[in-house]
Amino acid sequence: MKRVALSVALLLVWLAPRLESTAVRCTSTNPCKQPPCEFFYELKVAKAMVRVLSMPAPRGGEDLRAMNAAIRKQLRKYTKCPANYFYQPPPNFWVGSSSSCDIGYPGGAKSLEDVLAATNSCAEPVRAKFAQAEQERLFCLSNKDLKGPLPIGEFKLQQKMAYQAAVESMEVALGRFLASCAPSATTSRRVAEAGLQALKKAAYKERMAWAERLVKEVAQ
Amino acid sequence: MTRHLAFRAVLPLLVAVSFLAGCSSSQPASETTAQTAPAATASQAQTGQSEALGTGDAVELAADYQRQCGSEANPSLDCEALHNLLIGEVTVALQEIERSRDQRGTQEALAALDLVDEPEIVAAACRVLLQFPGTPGIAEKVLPLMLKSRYAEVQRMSANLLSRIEGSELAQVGSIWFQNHGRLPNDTPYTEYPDFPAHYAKLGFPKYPGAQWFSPADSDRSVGWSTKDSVANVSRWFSDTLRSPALTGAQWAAERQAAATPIVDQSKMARMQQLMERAVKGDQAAVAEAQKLSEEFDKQGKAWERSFENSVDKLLTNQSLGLPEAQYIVAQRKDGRVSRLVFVYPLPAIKQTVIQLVWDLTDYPAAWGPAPETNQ
Repeated sequence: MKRVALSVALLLVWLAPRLESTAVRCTSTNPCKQPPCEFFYELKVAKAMVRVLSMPAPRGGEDLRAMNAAIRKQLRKYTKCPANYFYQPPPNFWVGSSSSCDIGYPGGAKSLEDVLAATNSCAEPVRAKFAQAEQERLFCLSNKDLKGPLPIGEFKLQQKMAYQAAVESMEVALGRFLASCAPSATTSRRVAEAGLQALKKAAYKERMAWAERLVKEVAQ
Repeated sequence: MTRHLAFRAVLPLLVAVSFLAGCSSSQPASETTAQTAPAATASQAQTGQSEALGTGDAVELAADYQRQCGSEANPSLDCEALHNLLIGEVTVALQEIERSRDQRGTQEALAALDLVDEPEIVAAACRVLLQFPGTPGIAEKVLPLMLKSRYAEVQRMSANLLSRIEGSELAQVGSIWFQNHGRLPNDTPYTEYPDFPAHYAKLGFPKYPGAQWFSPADSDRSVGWSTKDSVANVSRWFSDTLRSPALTGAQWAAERQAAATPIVDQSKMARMQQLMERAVKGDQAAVAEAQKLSEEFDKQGKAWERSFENSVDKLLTNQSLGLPEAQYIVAQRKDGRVSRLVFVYPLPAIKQTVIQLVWDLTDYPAAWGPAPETNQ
């Protein structure tokens, strides 16, 4: 009986570190395993925000927050990530208002490594959020010399660049994965076809006319 | 017997632990442990590699978008959100098609080129087609995009694709764009192609009647134009207007040969040789003087490099090789440099004559990219 108790105790000691929260690499190529839905969720939100910030419509922080919420709402509706008990959304970093524009870490962490070690999430979006915060920090520092509020155009540009840093961070990881683990194109082709059809039909007649006119112009 | 008992005691614990850790078929581990990460969820693990990645219900999203938002004149916030997501879905799908190297995907990629106002989609489609540049119908679609798209990335990818089409006369047009746009900023796929530089009018180049803007000949130190008139007529017009002769390629090369090689002071070179001979024999004074002279050579070399980097020669060196019928009209000289130049050449593939108005970055600001280095 003592030996059983000892075995259990040893097992618990062995398992203890594995029960801790820790970020996992979701684009591992060894072995090739499909990255979880949560990874693509974050990538698509960031991509969508880059596009939103490139359009003339958003006129301030409120508009952007509303659009971000709408995007996440719609994406949750359609992405339908299978229920799981592990992957949590990556935590947000922030940039402080002090003169040094320090990056704030969630949950009392002191570094990115601390956050990765304490988060049940894909590591790639966590790193992407950190890349975004780093970009925001650079802008924060460069904005210090400004007198008065940041013009909306400049604000949008900076936000766009910050989201783009997040996109690039995740796309580098995804690119490495896809290069090693070539996926089948069957579903992708179906998605591309359906998406293109919808986009073309929805108020794109003018743009198509533009393209056709150009083709004619060049042909002449 | 005891071992069996121990296993029985441990088994429920293992089951409980695997549930707590994520109800997945494999245990999530640290990101540094590639062998065991990542832990796919059960349903994902079942689909394996046979299903494309992260597509979710994108087809449903597309259908709903078309149904709900297709006819909206002023799209609601939800429709805007759906639109943005659909762009992301299609882009990721095209990225997967690209990586799958499935040639059937060229069909969707060609169709995607019609979405001229969605630079991310067009760029992703171009990347698919780059793997199959022999696909019929590419040139007709990407040439207008390269010439007229308002997005820098679309022009770049179109030029890249065009330059790879073997056997097509249009490949040269793509190559010219590429050679000229090495320093074009493209921070995001939505970065717009830059407008004419603010100082362009002050450069004082004469405007050729009826010429149209031609982006392939734009660069950090030039603005491109094109016309249907012949090279002879165009170069004569500039030559008369600027009162400067139109030089052929051979004449231009002869003139610029001196500028393309660093000037070496022969007396200093001879002095250096003498010093080196003395230094070998252990003359410390000679070593010190040789070192000083060497630093001077180094400084001169760097100054020459900076000057060349800013020059019109830097831009034209590679480009002019493939354009034997080109004509060169010097508009302005300054301190031994060609400060402004009119470079005229034919592009038979599109039946146009190109007018590239080039300036030296030592004398004038760059059209885009980082500030020019000065020859201080």
